[in-house]
Formats: sequence, structure tokens, C-alpha cells
Amino acid sequence: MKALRLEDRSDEHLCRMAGGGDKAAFAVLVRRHQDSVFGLALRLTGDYELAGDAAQEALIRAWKALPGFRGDAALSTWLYRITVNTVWTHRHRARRRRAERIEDVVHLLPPSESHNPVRSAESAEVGGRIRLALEALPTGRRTVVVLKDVYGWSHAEIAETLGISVPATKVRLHRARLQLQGMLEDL
Amino acid sequence: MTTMVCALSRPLIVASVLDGARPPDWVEQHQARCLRCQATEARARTTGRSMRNLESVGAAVPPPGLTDSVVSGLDRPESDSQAPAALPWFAVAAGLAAVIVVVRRRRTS
Repeated sequence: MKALRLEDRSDEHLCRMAGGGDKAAFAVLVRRHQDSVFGLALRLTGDYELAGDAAQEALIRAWKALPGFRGDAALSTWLYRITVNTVWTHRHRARRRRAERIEDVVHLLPPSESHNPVRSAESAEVGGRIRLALEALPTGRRTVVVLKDVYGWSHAEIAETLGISVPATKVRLHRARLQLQGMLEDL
Repeated sequence: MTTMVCALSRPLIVASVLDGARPPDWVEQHQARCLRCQATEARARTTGRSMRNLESVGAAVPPPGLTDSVVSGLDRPESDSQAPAALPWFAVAAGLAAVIVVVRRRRTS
């Protein structure tokens, strides 16, 4: 019987192999999850280059932590947590970079929006406005609002990952939403 | 004109849309007759929908070669990644030490 190719194996199986030091198995996991890890890093940093660095560092951290990964949560959830932690560690760098430049959002538009030109223009405009508004938020508020309203995390998950209290996440979310609504008033 | 009630209702309306929680009765009663607060709700729905779409994987294309960079970085000790950041401080410290030595020598000579 022909053995399954690495690409055809499940995350769980690849995790076990990678946890034992198999780099080829880990490379397959990276290829499988890099888009979502990078996507989250990009939403949190608002900076393409910084997001690339953060995604790379997060995935390397994941490799080092894999032997301890018990599989209680889905791999994607676990990778998201590592990504948030990585970005959170470098938030001062992100803040400095963000102050230096204004993001060009064109390269971030979802390809699926290209089917209907009119709708595409509208949703692209709304999406672009929201991305810019998110980038304008202070890092702490942006992190909480992205994790809650974009990724659907619970307050408890956000609090645990960021190392802050649940009431603190609620306060940040409340302020972030108010600030966002203010910036998007003419939408 | 934005009233005090509008200002108080706004965050509760936004939270009700984004978190799915029912707003208090007084907010619903106010919203039923306030066009501004109805617009707030509509805007919150648009914003919420667009924000959820931001998660879609196709929305962000990672830099080419990310996998290769990760795999090549797997064996790198953590101290390597700290080196570039630490380097300028070493340079500054070495420069300061050199200046102090030169000044002291001049004073003693």
C-alpha cells in the first residue's frame, strides 16, 4: 500500500511528526497555515512588512513549542495565540512604524470581491475605510477589537492571551468601538 | 441634533449589533423614534459585516518565501535574533568608553 504524502496528512499527524523534529512535516504545516497567521498579524500590526516578520517569528516560536502542544485546541487556534503574543511583544515597534507611514490598502483587497464591479467598489471602499480606521486605533484597542469583532474571540480568551483582565478587555473594546464609530460616521 | 440619550444609546446599540445582546428597553424605545440612532445601528451592521470579512484568508497574501524563511530559521538560536537589536547599544557603549579614555588621558598628560 502506498504511504500518504505529507501534504495529505492531517494537522494532528503532522504536529506529532513535527513535534518529534520532522522539519518537512512542519514545512507542510507552515504552508497550510501561513496565510491565516499572516492575515492575523497584518490585522494586528496594520503593516505588511512587520506582519511578515511577526508571522515568521510566530511560526518559529510554534516550532519550538510544538513538543509541548497537547492538541487541546485546534492547531489554528494555538497558532493564533502565538501570533497574538508575538505581535503583542513587538507592539512598541509596530506603534513606531505606524506613525511613520500611511498604509496602502489596495494589495489587501479580497480577490472574491472582483465578481461584481459595483458591489466590489462599495465593499472595497467600506473594507478599506475600516482597515484604515483600525490602523488609526492605539495598538491595545486595535488588538482587542480585531480579536473580538474580526476573529470572534471571547473576552476570556483575549484576556488570557494578552495577560490582562476581562474587565480591561471590555473597557478597551468599548473605547475602540466608540472611536471606530466616530471615524466611520459618514459610512 | 444629537441628544444626551443618543450619546448614551450609541455604545449600547453598537454592542447589541456586534455582540447580539438585546439592548435595554429604554434604548429600543428611543431608537424607534430616533433616525440618528437607527443610522447608528445600520452603520454598526455594515461595519460588523465588513470586519468579519477581514478574517477571510484571501484578504492578505503573505510575502513570498515565508515558508522558506521559517524553515531556514528553525535552527537559529534565539540569541541570533537579538543580535541586530543589541548591536547599536554595543557600538554606543564602546564609543562612550573610547571618549572617556581619551579625555582621561588628555587630563593626565
